[in-house]
Amino acid sequence: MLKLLAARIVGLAPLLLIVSFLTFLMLHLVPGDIRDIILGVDATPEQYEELGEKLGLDDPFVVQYGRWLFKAVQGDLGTSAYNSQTVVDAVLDTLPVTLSLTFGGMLVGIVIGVPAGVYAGLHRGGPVDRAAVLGATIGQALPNFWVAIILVIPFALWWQLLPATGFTPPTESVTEWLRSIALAAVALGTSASAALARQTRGAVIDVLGTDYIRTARAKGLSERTVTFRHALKNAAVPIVTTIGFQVNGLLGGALIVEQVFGLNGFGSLAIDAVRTQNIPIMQGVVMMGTLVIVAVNIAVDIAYGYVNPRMRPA
Amino acid sequence: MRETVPLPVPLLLLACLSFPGCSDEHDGMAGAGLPVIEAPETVRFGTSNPMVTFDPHLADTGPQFSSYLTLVYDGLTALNLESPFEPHPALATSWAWRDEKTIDLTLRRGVHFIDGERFDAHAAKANIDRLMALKGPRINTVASMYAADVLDEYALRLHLHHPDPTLLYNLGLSPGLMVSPAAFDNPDLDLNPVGTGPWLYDRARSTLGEILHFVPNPDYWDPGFRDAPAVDVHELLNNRARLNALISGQIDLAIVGPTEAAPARDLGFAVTSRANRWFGMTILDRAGELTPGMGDPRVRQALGFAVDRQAIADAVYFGYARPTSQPMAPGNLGHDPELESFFSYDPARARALLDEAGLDTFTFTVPVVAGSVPEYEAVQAYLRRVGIDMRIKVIETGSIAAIARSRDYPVNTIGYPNFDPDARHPAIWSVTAGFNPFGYEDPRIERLATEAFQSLDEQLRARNYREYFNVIVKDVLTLVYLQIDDLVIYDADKLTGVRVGRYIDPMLREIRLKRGTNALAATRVDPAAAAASPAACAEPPAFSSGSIQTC
Repeated sequence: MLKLLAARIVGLAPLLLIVSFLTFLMLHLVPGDIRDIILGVDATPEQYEELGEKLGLDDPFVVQYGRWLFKAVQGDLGTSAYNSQTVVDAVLDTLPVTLSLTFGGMLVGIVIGVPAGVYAGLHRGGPVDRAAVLGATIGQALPNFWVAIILVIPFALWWQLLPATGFTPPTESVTEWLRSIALAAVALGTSASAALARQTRGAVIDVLGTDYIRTARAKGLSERTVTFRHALKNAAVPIVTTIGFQVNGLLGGALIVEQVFGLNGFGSLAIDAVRTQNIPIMQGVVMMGTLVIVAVNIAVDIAYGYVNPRMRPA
Repeated sequence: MRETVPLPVPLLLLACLSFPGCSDEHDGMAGAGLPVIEAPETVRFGTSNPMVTFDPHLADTGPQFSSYLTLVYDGLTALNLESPFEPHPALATSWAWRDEKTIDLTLRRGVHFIDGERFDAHAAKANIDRLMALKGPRINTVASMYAADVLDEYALRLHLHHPDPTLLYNLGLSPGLMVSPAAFDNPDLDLNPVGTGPWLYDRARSTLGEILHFVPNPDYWDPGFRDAPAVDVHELLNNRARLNALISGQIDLAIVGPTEAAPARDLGFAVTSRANRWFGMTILDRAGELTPGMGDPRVRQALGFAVDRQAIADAVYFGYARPTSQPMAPGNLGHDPELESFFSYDPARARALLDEAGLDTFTFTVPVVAGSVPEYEAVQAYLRRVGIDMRIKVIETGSIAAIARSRDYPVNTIGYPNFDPDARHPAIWSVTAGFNPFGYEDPRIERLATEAFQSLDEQLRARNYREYFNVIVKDVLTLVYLQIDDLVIYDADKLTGVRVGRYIDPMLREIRLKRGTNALAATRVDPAAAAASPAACAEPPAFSSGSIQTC
């Protein structure tokens, strides 16, 4: 396990280098100029030139990137282009929001999708199976931001049971934290549960058709033992893989859903950074997003080892 | 054997969370992150404009950011909404023009910055020196000023290159906001304001990008602010999210667009507005270098006559816009009532103008930010009916100014403020304007603007700018279709004094809680001070002049 972690960490450095370079390049290709946003519409051409010199915008792209990289390798991701807020502070302020939504959505997805998939797989062809397949198809077809908008109307606006906007950190109140992410998590979890239900159903059906399940039944084991001890354990690998994919997908989906709920997460930070050409913040968002996704992938690899010991690294 | 959780249990838990009775705390948090019940003395404002900097000398007050600054800083003057160029006294209690290029300010006594430093003429001079040294985004608005001299402890003299009738107005915006000189070198001044304003920024409780907390400054010099509520500014970038937050009781007022104002009005919320900007197109290629037809004033006039302005105001802006033909709004310098309906809806005349110009069809492209596409699509449809093919190129919001500075398009679609011709001329129509990339020159408007800008004679200024905008409208240097409203929706049962300012935001300093909703704040009033100011302000105080205004 340690070898796995070490290998991933060693591989992280070139990955971050490539991602940072491509991000910097893409941000420079985005139309617009930060000077217009800082100076406003009434700025004179002289102000425009002076600010360009001050921000180093006239330097070649490679020089600008090199300057950023030199500081980044020393742990300094810089400050916002508009004020003295550090990129690290901006990221740390917003990361808990997006991670709460992502993992809340994943929890909803697992809680609904896995049992539904298992039940449908165990009762293949039955009415519940058909309903689960139909529900999963619909669930995957619904855009999560649309689900979010629909959920807000009854739960937040009509009945005012849950908040329409805002985030409470779990450090302030666990209950309020759950309330603040509940609608967003359900909105995100809808598509995740649909994907998980389909994958789980397929994996369970595959496993139930294997020789060792037939052998287990032939040995006279109870259906409960066959299902929980043999079938589900072996079906877990593709389910874990799907969970890993879904977490990464939910991270992206959370960026959009944050807008619906007015949450100050990674999405809001990223959108505002792009809108205002705030390159240091955008670099920080992408770097942190990369780290989160790598961490999720490592967690999935570790989970493989637990659900199937044969997959543990030597 | 492991215990398994039955499927309905998590769903029941989720449902349980929907009911405050299930909560482990009963502290009045009806919403999630936003306090709803326990802080009735707080005005909760939902804004679309994230706080960028608390350093006023590096801030761009237009079209945004000013509301944060006016909570924590005082200016030398203060904005007079009804008559911008006749500002209210603030830290300067009075002023007198010594000659056309020199103005003497008398400063308010007994004012201290929140760090304990005294406000006096030395502090004011230090601020002006800093302003000119930093050359921030708004420096061009006070560029006429080149030096400040201390006459005595509370008297300051400003020296100008030329007469500047807008200087006092601009000293009420970010350039004139006073920072404690002791804080000039604070590395975090942009995140930690040190002013003399009626509110204190509670940085410890605030999260940039999410919520900013402001609490009343107990030592504020103007007793008219003794009943000032706390102010929470919620940064909610999405228009719909702000409307939802208002409906669900999480905020008390919000900046919105017309799409949100109409349903808010239907739900019983109050809507207040101010026509602050125009909608139309500024012609960049005025000589027709890029798009030959655009060089002919008849073709440009055809663009004006072809469009049914009222229909667009009703259908796209839900009535929160009014047809017009001129950039300046009624009541403002340069507005000419006779120009208001210069362009009536007359497609036959538009077609005839094109025929006169010898054009069967005419094609051009406009750069439009995504949020403005519907209104330009409406214009596009009307223009198509008379044979004009206006193609829309959707651009990034952040690129609109850069595109307007380029020679890539014959027009730009920036919606400029509609009340300050002194600032608009050098930005848009002057031969040296940044948004005149083709360098088009009209000697008439250069002369009229130069005379007006450098004169303190209000009659001359009014006459010149009226003539100036007759040229702009009739030669169609800018084609204006509508005056459009900035909109604020609010809970009228709770708030009073809500007015839209000149830059999108409401006048936050003026907003008060209605009697009965501000019990906690009322108990804070010192009896002695209350005796001096017996009537609590049901309406917000106007800026006090030399003598403190009580309510």
